[in-house]
Amino acid sequence: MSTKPNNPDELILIDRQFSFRTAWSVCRWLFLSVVISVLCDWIFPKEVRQWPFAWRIAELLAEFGSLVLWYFDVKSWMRGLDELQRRITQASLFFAVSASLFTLLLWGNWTAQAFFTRRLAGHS
Amino acid sequence: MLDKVTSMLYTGFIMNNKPNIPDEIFLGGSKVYSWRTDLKVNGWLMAAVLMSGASDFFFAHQVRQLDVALRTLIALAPFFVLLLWMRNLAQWIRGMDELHRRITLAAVLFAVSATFFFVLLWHRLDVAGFFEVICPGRKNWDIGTIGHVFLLMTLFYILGHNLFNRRYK
Repeated sequence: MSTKPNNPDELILIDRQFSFRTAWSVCRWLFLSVVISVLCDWIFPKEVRQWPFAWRIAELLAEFGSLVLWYFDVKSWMRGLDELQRRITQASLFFAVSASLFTLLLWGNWTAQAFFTRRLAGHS
Repeated sequence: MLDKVTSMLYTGFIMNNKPNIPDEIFLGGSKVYSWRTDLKVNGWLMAAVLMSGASDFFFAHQVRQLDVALRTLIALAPFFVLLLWMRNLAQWIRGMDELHRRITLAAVLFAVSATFFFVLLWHRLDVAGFFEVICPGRKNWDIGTIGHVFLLMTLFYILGHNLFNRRYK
């Protein structure tokens, strides 16, 4: 009971209480996943497409495996929050995930209906 | 004075309302299942799934021939309906008692996160050519429609509900 509860502001980059150490311990796997994704999907997509099939699957597994490990870190960090902060953090996390899924689906639907192609073609 | 206020709280209109029960919308999983409550909470979701099913599966060819503005509207309509469903769901969860609300919120968070993860992973496996290797004949492996997400979320909600409910049994 004497341990200090976790503080959500320690993870917010623009907050005064931001702690690099805490952010690293909670989000290191997410960071790794983002680095893999940026390297393979944005910077070297052509090179990755020429890799053997097994390598590409291994890259995917590394990316999504890191996300699973990040989930466990976030879970144990959230368990260390006090009751009020846990509620707020859970609600914000819920909102973030739902809104991301919603946007992703909507974007995919619009892409499938060639919305962006037509719009961009109309402007050029 | 304080006793009077307290008694008013406990006999007032709000405290006499029966709290919502998560099992009421648990199709096949519970004896207290209520078709009426399910329709009240998930009616808009069903409408969104039907709209998505009609435009993405049954009349996909006809929709593709429409004007881009109309197609955009058709693509947008189920998402607007989904927002109405979210409002209903939030209201329904707010009407639960503290314990049920906790379990349901955790189960819904689990369902949405797992669905998000699954859809992303599936898409990336599709791009990496995984499904072409496993099953060479079929070309389209996309699961980005609301119907797919509905099925996944239902599955993960049942899983999450059982998982989080187990702690309190």
